[in-house]
Amino acid sequence: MRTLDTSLSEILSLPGVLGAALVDAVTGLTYGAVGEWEGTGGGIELSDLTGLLAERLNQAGATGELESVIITSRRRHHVTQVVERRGDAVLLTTVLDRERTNLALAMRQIAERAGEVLA
Amino acid sequence: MTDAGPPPPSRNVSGLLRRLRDREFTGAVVVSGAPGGTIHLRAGRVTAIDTPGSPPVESLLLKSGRIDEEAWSAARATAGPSDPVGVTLVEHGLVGAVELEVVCAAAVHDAAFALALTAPGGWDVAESALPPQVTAGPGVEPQALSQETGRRLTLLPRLWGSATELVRGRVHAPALASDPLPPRYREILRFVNGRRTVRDLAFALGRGVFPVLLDLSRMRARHLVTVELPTSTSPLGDGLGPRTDVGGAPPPPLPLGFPLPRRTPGGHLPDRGR
Amino acid sequence: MSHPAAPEPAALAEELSSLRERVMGVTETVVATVDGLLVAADASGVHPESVAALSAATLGLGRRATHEVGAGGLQEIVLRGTAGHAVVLAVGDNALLTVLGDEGLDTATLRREAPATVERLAKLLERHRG
Repeated sequence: MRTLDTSLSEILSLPGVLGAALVDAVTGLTYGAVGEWEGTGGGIELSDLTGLLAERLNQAGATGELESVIITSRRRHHVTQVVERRGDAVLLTTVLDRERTNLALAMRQIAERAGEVLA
Repeated sequence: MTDAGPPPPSRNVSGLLRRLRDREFTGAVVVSGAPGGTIHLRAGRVTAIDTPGSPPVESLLLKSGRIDEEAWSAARATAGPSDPVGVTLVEHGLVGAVELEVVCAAAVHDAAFALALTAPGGWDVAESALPPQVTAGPGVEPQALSQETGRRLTLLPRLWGSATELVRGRVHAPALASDPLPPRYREILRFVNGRRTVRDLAFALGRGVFPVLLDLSRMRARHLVTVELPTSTSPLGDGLGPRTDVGGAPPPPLPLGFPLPRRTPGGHLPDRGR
Repeated sequence: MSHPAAPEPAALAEELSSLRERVMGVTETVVATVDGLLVAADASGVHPESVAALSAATLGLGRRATHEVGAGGLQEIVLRGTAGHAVVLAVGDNALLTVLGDEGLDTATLRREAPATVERLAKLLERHRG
């Protein structure tokens, strides 16, 4: 049976990807992580952040749900994709090396992978 | 790894789990209490926890609509000896292998949190126990489980109040919410009826008690719900074992993941080959 | 079978809500006579009168069954569904208690708490018989 580890490793093999993790959108629990990833605290902060953003969007009257969050630092892009499912959503988060990645391309690839990460 | 007799007595469940991890124990730890629970271990890692305090994997999959009841029953019926329900579900394409792994891990963490809310009356280690209904993945390391449980227990008082009280609190929805609400909040409000406790809501929704508690905390901040705390804080009935203080409520859980329980006198590992 | 004069409603209600407090997963409770007449209920989703009637029938059938197969006196009947439980307990000779619960009903704690509850209910009902 395919494992979470395998699934995340597939994402790690994409060009420019330094790390990836799957995190619970509500509790912040990190279900799995590969490569360069901040660990437990990272998952909780991430879910807090996306939760806050989703809440603010909703309160501001936005229709539709939060889809992704991109945080850019000097050398990294942190791309977090919300993976909706039957049940509480999970967050697929990826750490990209800015120098080696075309963000738009990476976003597309990650979005595609997000559709299969739970398969 | 060979055993040299039963492990030394543990002061609490998480200590026991650490020792069982060292021995790569496979079997179950049955914890008594109100509620109690059964912690399933494989090679020392926690693969499942059954407790009245947290919805089982079955509920999480069925109530969310991920799997329908008929398909579930069929998979159960054709399942074989070693964790087959999980494999069967995946083979029949009813749930992704990775999704199942995620759901099982979430359920283990939620049940550990639920168990940690009340001091156990005692525990027994059983090597030959009925295997859990569904498992997927390697299981959770007891140390990580204890840490996360401790984190959750200390988070709640900072956010809101005592987790033990909140989970047993009855949830009320004072006013009709007018704004368009996030789907999770709307779903919660569908089941709020003034009688259901936070734990009951989790079961009705088929979601973990801890995530429901987090959502309720934010809903409360938006004045969408109120929680009426239970009047008695001592959930233990009589005859559950010795207590540390006479006539008092159980001590609050320590941020170690599990509260310091008291052993029932005479509790020990089963004899080996005598 | 004498028609039960109304037992103190407050005391009964107190007993029932206390049970719901002590046992996780209990959603509703109904006290009825073995004839299926409603005596008291702590309920919100179900129709207590229907539950009373059904429970009496179930108890009667259960009693005949345990007697027939030589299993002794009936102690409890547990109906377990995919979405919940219904437990029927005899209260004395003439009444019964039905405990409805969700799928996570703490049956272990219920089994521990039930005897004392049943005894107290029996006393309350006895006090008000004719």
